[in-house]
Amino acid sequence: MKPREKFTPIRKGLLEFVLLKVVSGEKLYVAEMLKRLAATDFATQEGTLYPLLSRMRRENLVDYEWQESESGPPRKYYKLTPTGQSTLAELQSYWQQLNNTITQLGT
Amino acid sequence: MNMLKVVTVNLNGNAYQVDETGFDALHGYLEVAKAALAQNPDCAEIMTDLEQAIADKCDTFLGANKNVVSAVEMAQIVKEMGPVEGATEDAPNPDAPDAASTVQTPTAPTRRLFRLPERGMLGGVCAGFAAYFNVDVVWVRLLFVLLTFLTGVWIFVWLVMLFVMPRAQTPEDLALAHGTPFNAQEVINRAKKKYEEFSGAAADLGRKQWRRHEPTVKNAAADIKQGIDSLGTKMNNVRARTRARTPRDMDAPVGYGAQVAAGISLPVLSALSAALLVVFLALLALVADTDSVFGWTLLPFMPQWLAVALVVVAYLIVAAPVGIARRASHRYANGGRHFGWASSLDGLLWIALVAVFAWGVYQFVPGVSEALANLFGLSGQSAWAML
Repeated sequence: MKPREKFTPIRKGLLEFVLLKVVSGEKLYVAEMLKRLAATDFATQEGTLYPLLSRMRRENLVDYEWQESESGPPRKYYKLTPTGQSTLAELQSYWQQLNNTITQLGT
Repeated sequence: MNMLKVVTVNLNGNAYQVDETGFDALHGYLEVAKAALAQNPDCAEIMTDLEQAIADKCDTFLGANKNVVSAVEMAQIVKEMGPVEGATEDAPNPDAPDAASTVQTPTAPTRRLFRLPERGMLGGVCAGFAAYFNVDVVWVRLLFVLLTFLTGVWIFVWLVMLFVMPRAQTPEDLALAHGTPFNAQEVINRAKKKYEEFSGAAADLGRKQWRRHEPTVKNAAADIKQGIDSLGTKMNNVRARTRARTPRDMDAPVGYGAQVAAGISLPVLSALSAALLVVFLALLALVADTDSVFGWTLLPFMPQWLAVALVVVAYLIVAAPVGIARRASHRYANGGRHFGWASSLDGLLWIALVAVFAWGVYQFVPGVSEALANLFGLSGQSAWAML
C-alpha cells in the first residue's frame, strides 16, 4: 500500500502526536523511533525527526537523558515530561472527537 | 577503474574516510542542513545529532577490510537522512519563507577565470576558458592550436595564462569558473552529475580508449599528487586516532615536527622552482629566436613550434613534482592550512629568487639577451597587439 501523496500534509501534521505516543511507553532513542515508525504510514527520517524533537523539548513536551550504549557513543533516550503526558491525553481525546465528527458527517 | 581521492572528515569527534565525490555530497548535505537551521536556537545541538546519525550509518558500511565510505554509500546515507526541516514553529511563520528564500536565492552569479587542471590536458588553461565562455573545451583547444600555428606568440599567451590564472581549488572556485551561483544544493547537484559522468565513462569503451592515450605528463603528475595526498590523509588519520576529539576543522592541523621540516624544505623547493622557471624561460627564448640552444641546432625536419612545445612539455614534466611538493610544504609549514604566513613569505622569496636568477642568466649566459632583444624588438609589437 502506497500512502497517497495528497495526504502528506495530514501525516505531517499528525507526526508530533505520533511521536508523543511513541515515546509515551519506554524510553527510546532516535534510531529506535525511526525503526518503529518505518513500518507505518508515518515513516520518517533523521532530517525531520531531530529538528522536531528539539522543538518538542523546547516546548517541554519531551526530555532526554544520556545513556551509555555497548557499541559506540552514549545515546539520547527520549521520554515524555508531565506536560507531554497531559498534552498527549488531550490530543487523544481530541482525535477521538474528530473521528466521531467525521463518522457522523457521513450518515 | 580510476582511483578516487579520500577525504578524512570529523563527524562528531570521530574520523571517517569518505571518497571525494561522497565527501561533496556529505558536505553539501550538512551545509544545506545548517542553512535550514540558521534560525533554530538549537542549531548546534541538532547538527551534532545529525553528524552522529551519519556516523552511525557510516559504521554499518565499514568493517575490518573496508575503511572508506564510497560515493554510492554516502548518497544512500544522505538519502536516508532526508531533508532537514528548518521551520522553528509548527504554524507556518512569516519569517520562515524569508529565511528559506535568503538561503536559496543565489548570490549574483559572477564569473572568474580559473585554471581547471583536473579537466585540462596540461594546465587546464583551455578548460578554464571553456568554462568561462560556456563552450566545449575542444573548440578552445583547437583555437589555441590554430593560433599557435599562425603566430608563434600564442604559446607565450598560453604560458602567461598558465601562471596568471589562479587554480580552482574549492567547489566555490569551480562554481565561479562556470559563473553558476554557488549554494550547497549546487554542490550536491554537481557531485551527482560528476558521479553520473564518472559511471558513464566507465561503461564507455571509447572514452576508456581515449584515457589510455592521455599524455603521460598528466598521469605522472596525478600519481605523485595522489601519493602525497594519501600520505597527508594517513598522517591525519594517525593524528585523529591518537586524539579522541579533533577540532571541527576541514583543514586538519599538522604536527610541529612536520611544520619544522616543511619550513626547512620550503626555501630549497622554492629555489629549485625559481631556477627551473628561469632556465625554462631562457631556453624558450633561445629556441624561439634562433632555433638552437647553445649551438646545438634542431633537427632539420623539426619545425620551430614543435621545439617550443617540447621545451614547454619538458618544463611541465620537471616542474610538476616540484610544484606539488611546494604546495604540500606550504600546507605543512602553515600548520595545516592552505594559506598562511609561511606561503606569503615563501611567495615573496620565490619572486625575489626568480628576479635574481633571471638577472644572472640575462647577464652571463651567452645568447639570452640577444634572443630577448630580437623577440621583443621584432615580434614584440605584434604580440602585444594580439593580446
